[in-house]
Amino acid sequence: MFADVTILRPQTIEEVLDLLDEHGGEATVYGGATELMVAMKLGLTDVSTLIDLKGVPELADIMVDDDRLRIGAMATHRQIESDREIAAFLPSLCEIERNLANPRVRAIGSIGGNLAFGEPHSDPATFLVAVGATLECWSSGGGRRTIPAVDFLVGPFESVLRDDELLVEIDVPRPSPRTALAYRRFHLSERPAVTVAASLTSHSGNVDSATVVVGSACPTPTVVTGPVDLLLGGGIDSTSLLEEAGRAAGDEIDVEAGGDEVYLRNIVSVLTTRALTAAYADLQAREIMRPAPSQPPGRSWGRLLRPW
Amino acid sequence: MTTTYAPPARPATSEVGRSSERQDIRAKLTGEAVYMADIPADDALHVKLLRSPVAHARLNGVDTSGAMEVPGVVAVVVAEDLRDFNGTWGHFVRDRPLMATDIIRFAGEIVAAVVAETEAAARAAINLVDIDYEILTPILDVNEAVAPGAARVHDGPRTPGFACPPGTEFYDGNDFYRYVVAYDKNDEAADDDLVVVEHEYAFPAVYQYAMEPHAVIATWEPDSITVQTSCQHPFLVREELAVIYGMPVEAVRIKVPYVGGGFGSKSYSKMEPVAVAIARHVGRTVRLVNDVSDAMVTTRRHSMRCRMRTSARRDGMLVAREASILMETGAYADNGPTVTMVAGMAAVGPYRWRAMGITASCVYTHLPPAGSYRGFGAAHMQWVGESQIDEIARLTGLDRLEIRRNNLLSRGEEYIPGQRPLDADLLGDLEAVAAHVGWGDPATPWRGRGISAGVSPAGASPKSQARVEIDEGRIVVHSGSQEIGQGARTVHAQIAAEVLGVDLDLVFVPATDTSVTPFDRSTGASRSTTVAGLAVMRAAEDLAARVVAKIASENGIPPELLSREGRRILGPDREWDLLDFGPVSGRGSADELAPGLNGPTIFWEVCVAAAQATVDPDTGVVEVGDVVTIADVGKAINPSLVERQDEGCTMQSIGNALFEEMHFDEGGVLLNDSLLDYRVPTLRDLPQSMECIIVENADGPGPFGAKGCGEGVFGGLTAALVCAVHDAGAPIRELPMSPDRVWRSVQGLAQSADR
Repeated sequence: MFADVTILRPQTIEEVLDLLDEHGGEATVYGGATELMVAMKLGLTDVSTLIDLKGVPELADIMVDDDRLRIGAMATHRQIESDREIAAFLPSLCEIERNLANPRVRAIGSIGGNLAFGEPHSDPATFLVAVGATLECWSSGGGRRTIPAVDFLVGPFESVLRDDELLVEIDVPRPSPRTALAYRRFHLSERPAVTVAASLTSHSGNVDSATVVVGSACPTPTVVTGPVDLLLGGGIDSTSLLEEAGRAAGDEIDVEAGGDEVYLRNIVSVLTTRALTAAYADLQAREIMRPAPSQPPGRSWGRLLRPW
Repeated sequence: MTTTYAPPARPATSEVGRSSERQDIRAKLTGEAVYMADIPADDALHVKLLRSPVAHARLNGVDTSGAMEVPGVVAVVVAEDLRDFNGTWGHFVRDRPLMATDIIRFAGEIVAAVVAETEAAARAAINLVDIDYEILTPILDVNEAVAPGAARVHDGPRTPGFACPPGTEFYDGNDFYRYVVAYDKNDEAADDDLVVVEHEYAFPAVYQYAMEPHAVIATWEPDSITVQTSCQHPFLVREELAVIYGMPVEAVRIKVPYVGGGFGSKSYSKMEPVAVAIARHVGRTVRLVNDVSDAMVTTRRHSMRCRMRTSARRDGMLVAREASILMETGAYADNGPTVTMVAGMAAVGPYRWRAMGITASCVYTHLPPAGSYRGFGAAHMQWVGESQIDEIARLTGLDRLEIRRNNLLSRGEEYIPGQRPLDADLLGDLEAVAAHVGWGDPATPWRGRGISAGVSPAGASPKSQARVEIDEGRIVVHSGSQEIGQGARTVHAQIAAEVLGVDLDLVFVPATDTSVTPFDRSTGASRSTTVAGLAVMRAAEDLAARVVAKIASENGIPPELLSREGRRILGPDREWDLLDFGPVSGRGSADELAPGLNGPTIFWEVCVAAAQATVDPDTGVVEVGDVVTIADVGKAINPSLVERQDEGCTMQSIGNALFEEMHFDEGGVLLNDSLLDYRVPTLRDLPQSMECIIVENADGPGPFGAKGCGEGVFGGLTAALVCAVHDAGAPIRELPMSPDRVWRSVQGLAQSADR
């Protein structure tokens, strides 16, 4: 089906880095190839040398140490969704991975591949920005960079990773026990159309820090400030405040070109409101924040899930 | 001749009515079943097709020199190479060149074929063929295509194809075929106090998405053609090839392996004519396998636009309906006229009308050709008519079930003048589905229910034959009805087993080889059980009669002293086992269905369903609640297969109604030509529940009172879903009911059909 390609199969990270150095941009690393194969079939890439990372066991390790969750770049979505340590450390990541793409992609696709390919319609990319993840990128000769997830992608299919660099590991700091995370996705086809991750932290009973990240609808995951400005420092005394915060997110993002802008902004607003509502409900349930005064009934259909 | 074997006495219907295991289940689950693309073809050359990147252009030339230099390439075939015969083909209208000649009419039209020793060489070379073309303005919109003064996709007059019904009238404009239902029974003074509903509606182009794309292996010899192909209508493929290549049908042999789904996408001829042309040109066997992206520009479902007007008296009694329907068939007719006719029939609606004025037109555009897809016509139009009945109910203050009770046709009443009268209890069917979705329960915000009723002409033609043989102690059923996943072979085996009183595992139904298998017109129009099944039943009966006659003559026993109980033939003082008499064969046909036939309707397939739906007003997402469908089958030969048919069609209907849509760019190029971008239903799209109610009134013309099923859901459920979503708060007049459209409806923003 394709023109001839050479596939190199290194077994250690060192070997990978040496190969990258040796081929200087002429070679492409791949894991599950769930994105690469599509690009090759469409004739969008004409790589002739591929470096298969599946034979490098140390790249697929998952561990927790020093209050950090460390996920090897080659850990598959399936591995992550079913990992007990992650379930305890960052349960919302398991949930996201469980709903990602389809079973075939989850079985073979890796989290590192998902990030490095830079497909704008990505679930992990949005979520990892919200939890303050950092990406460990190595190059031969001992080069090491730690790149915050928020700085990793600079455009669709474009990361700051250099040709000789390998994304080795994703690190996530342990969330504060007084933080609630919530994630919402909206999809019309295989890939998500809108992704929103929200994080609320309360030490005082008010919102002491908040993060809202919008992805998929925009070229790269975007940290939006409008909702945060509305919420920070205060309590949440009405659901209309959360709706206002949602609208602020919808107004703020750069919508991807060629899309249905009015509708996409609406979905960003709705998902932001729903993610914040879920995070707030989590904090209430754990008695970290007080419940908002009861609301007049009416728009109670906000979180429909299999209502019949 | 004597046998000591005494099979146990069997009840009158022991095999028919039983959910027997599919005959092909083991082969398909174990991977033993070999599909077309995996059939070894070691000596065959591989073909890759170069398809036009633009929808409409003047083709000035094709430079094949670069491709010819690729090692392994044997030939690059272009239209110029095929000029020594008339390759224009098409079963309904002969309008289609094997490859584009001077004009390109759709993006995806075949311009050249690279033939090579390996698939890789063919693929590599295809990109080196240069097309010299001059872009012309394409006509992509049906309204534009029928506007006065519009350029013509094809110049008239039309040449009828071999399967075109005699007397069919064609027109020179882009709307080249029309189906009309027009009558006015109004002998009273005209009502002037009428409730009237009138809107425009739109339905999307969608793809059938059989899991297996088209694939063909073709061999041409001066006096014969042999083709292996994944197809639904091998005998019509045979006829098409015989017409094109000027051979008697007996010189053309079609063999069909396991078929990985059809849904209409493999009806009539698709890739076979061009594959044979290439084989003829290179003088060797060739193998042509479509990718999904090829298959999606080979056939699809028609998009539709229409304006409909329904009127009723203030008491809710329906008066009249008018509709002007444009069925967009793309650049070539394919089965468009038939689809258009059935759409026109579905637009009528199964009610008592005083006046009817339906015109359905089949319209050429510069888009890929559209043909048959499960439930065609009913899927296009039933939802339009039924949503107008709902609106009339709202305007007259009647319950939506009540208005249907008051107006529905009864058994024996005429649906369309000159056609078979209604042969089903529609009201009984409708009451059953309404009860299942809690009709009359209190309304809940943003949740709705829909019911719908309709019928669609089914059976297509009585032309089916079968041969049933005793061979080495087994029964072999030769039927040309294709097993495309629906279970036709299992049902035919059950019918033969029932008639002959043998166990099902002693009955074998081989794959079709037109040099061996008796003629069967087609696998479609829900006809395999009813029509081909009747031929199998008659052939089995003939076989039994021949065995009895043989015993009588060989033993000098008067035939009237012989009787048959299942496979035992009883004489005055001894008995015989039917299976000891090989080789004997019986023949049967469905010819008895022909007398009195008016039009294509051998029976009316019932399209009745109900559904619940929830609308999320913030996002426009529709969730489907309980779904119930009617399988009004007369007699369920295999109840499990009937249920699986309705379930499969339920899923396809949900896809078509809620999200499936082929997107073309402003130049007419298909944008979403893969599963990544063209969304089909998955398990996540399952409704909350699916229930298939099997109705057995023994009122079908097929064996044991059976009539076909498996397509009616597309009409019934699409309509029920639209009605449910409207009931939930989102009136929709353009499908699919994608979240953006539903959200705009909720927000009161314009939908494009009414813009």
